[in-house]
Amino acid sequence: MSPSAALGPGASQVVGERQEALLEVDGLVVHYRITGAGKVFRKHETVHAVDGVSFDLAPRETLGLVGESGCGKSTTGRTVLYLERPTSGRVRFEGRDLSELTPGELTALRSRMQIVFQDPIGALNPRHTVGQLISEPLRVHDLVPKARRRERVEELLGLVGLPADAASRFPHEFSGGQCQRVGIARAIAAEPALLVLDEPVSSLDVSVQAQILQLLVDLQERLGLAYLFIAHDLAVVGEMSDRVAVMYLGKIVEIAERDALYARPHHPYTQALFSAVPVPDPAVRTGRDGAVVSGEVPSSLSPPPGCRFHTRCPLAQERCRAEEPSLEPVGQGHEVACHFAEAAATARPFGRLATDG
Amino acid sequence: MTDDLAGARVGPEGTGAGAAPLLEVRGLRVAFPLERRTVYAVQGLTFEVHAGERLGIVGESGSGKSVSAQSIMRMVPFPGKVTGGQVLFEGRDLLGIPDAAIRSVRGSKIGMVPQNPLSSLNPVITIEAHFREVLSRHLGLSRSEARVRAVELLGSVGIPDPAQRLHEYAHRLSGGQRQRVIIALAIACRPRVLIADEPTTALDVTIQAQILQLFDELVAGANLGAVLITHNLGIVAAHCDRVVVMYAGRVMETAPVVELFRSPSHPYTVGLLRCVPRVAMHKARVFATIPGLPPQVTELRDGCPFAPRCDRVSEQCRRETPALADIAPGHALACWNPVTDAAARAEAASV
Amino acid sequence: MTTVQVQLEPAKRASTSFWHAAWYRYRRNRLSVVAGAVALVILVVAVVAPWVAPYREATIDLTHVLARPTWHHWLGTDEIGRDTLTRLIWGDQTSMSVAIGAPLVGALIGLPLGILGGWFGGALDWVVLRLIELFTMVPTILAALLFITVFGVSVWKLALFIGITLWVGFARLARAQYLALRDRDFVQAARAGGVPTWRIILVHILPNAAGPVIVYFVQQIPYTIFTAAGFSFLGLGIQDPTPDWGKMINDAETYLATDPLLVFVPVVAIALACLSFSFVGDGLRDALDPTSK
Repeated sequence: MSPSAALGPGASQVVGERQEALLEVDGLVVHYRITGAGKVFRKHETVHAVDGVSFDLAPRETLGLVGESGCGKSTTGRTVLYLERPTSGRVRFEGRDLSELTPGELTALRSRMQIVFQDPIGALNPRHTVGQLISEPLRVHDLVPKARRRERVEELLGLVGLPADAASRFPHEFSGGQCQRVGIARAIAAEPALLVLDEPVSSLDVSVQAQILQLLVDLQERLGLAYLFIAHDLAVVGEMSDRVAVMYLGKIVEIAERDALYARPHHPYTQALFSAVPVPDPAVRTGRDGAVVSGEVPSSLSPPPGCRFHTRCPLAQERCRAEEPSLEPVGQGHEVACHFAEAAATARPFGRLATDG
Repeated sequence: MTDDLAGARVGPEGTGAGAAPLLEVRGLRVAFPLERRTVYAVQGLTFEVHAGERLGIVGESGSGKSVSAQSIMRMVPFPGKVTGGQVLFEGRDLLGIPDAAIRSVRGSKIGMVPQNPLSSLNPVITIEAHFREVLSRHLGLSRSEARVRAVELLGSVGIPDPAQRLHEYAHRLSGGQRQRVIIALAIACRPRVLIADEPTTALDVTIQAQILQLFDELVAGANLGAVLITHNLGIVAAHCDRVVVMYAGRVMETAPVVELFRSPSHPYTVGLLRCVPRVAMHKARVFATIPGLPPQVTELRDGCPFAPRCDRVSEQCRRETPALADIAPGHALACWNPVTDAAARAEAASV
Repeated sequence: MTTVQVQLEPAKRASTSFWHAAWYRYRRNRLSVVAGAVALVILVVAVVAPWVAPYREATIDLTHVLARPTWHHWLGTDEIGRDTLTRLIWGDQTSMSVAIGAPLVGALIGLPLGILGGWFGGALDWVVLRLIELFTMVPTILAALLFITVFGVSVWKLALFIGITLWVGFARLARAQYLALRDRDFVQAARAGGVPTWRIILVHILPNAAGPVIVYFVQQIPYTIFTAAGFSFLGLGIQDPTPDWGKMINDAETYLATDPLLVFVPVVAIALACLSFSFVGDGLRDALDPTSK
């Protein structure tokens, strides 16, 4: 997962034998300056939303980005699309550095990378019909001649499992799951290569969740999409992803092939996340043996020095408080940012994990 | 309680016997008359909670699970109305007693942990003032007594440095800590019953695990009767003793938790169990789904509400509403064509 | 393919847009419906005044001075023999021109400023905010009086002067709406889709901000009627021969004891106009407020 510095700006045209990365993110940093309360004058503080995140994503691949609220996973997703500008770091999409594009080029590129939001209803303009919503990308990027737009909208509705007469209705007439289908139809309308899925099922009912996940898997196969799948739920991420990156306080603490990560999570935080997943089996009572991770996520205004997880880590040593661990390989494509990665993988500080048994 | 409430008193069978439930809900019905239609949110809900027991009410949106919790405390939001049934607590029907009497039950005999920890505390008064209000109203404690008790309570829910925290405002606390404060407030007057409505939905998974662990400790420690309302079957499995599965305002199935997960019998329960995302060893390619959407009941008609989505549906299901009937001790079911197939059950329990 | 086809409920009624739903909600408020009808009559009469008024605008008939109501003069005449009904109808046109014109001027100035400040933020927003603060500090009535004194008065000048005092409210409202809507997911989705900024501002946000702006606009109408009438009453408003309700009160004041109808008619007209637009505003607020749904 090392940043592909070797790729020049024009490398996108080269179609090598090795599958080239569709998306490369290198040292992404997003800081916000906010104005907080001060004693006399207002203080300026910095939110460390994303603090040096690197990963890449191949075509047709799904990378899961998992973490708790405030870990910077959503910000990462939006910055990858340049909906927010990074403070520093580089995002390359199809070999082109997004920071070097003119606004016009960026707009044109937007047809290739799309986003699906967590709140399915809020992501749809309440004053537009479903037909208008889905045809907007077609109109903006001038992809389909006006006469064929209606046909294309109906085709897209069919793809996401909605009847053609949905086009003349308004978002509020649909349930959350149906709205999410509309959001997905809009996202795939411009035939993108990459979809950022920002918690696409977290606000849906369990029975509807599965329908949407199935739809996403089917669309990926059919349209050859790459997904950046952002979620807080290891179970859902595990069902969808080829690789998984775990984020904590703006940093990736562990990234690996999905099966490797789920079989043997190394980072204590990854293990804590696994142990906290409620298992739908009364025989497995996780968390009842006192193995629940203590404490809460520290403020991203002043992240702890050293390893950011040391305030909650049962294995923390002096070194963890002083020295920040970098992502180091522990296996094929498996990198962990922990000074004691091997020891932690064996020690199992949070007892049995949801994957056991 | 005072004598003027005798009119609402329910027969002697509710008192005396040692095994009598703490809280009993019988045939509860709640409806919401809206602009152009009426939503029948709860249609004949029956359950009971015993001391030391954690009852889970599980369902999807629109199943009526939250409204049920609110109607126990007579706190159904406008324009909802309880249209039938009884809520028996300490031998009285809470739905029939005067407003003043229900206020003395709320927050005192029955504690409630609402869903959203971010908005359930008043932002302009201190944590101490929240406790003072509850403790002086229900227990008549003085200012200094209330402070001592509040420190004790905050300590018992795992808030570090409780004496210091008392002087702070809600916005200074994290979501997890606010939820702990709300739990401390709910148990401040040593209630007999604790109702928690999706207490961890707004929280992160690691904090959720902490809060649920606290919930278990409190229930066991004080021998409370607890009602945990959730949409998450994983939480039910780990933190409940008995389960009520609700769908479209009705009870579909109820059983002890181990029994329910071992031999789920209602097609809805089976389907729901199949849908739950699990931490599995490999990536999924095919997801078990229940087709269609959870309904909102806007007209009363006969037939099983799950029939339109059910793969075991028969003509009878569309015509007649199945009644809730025991199929084993403690295991009741409302279904004409229950799942008896061991293979299907096993698949649901461990996909 | 395992995609599940989602069955929608059969379409029992036609698809309801936001405006349909708003109209439904508005209709349920009886008072607002009645007020709306009254306001509509007032507006229509203002437009068709030249055709419905029984006499010419400035017809003076010194043979019938201070007449009681007769078949020729339904509401009597004033001290120089002008037909009160004619004056009332022409005055309606004057009042409504100012009442609609002034908020229009305010909206035309305030909305673009507020939208630009709210959407783009930064330095532009800073300038808009300082302008708003500056105009908030100046007492609006005094400012309008100053303009009238310096530039004189006519119907359109009056609308312009009062309008200038109204822009701050429109700017504030638009700015708040755009600030709130700017970070909504559907706006982000439009940005992610590569929708040009002008299209986001006009096509995506404006219709969502329209409800509160319309309500505010209508609420400013009674305020303007009152303010304009106030100026006329003080003798600073519309001057003869243009008929105006405030001016009618001012003229008739002298005859209050002998001929109360002369005062009564314009007072009732002003009250009716103010009340009806006020109730229409309330009804619209309830109908257009998305939170009430």
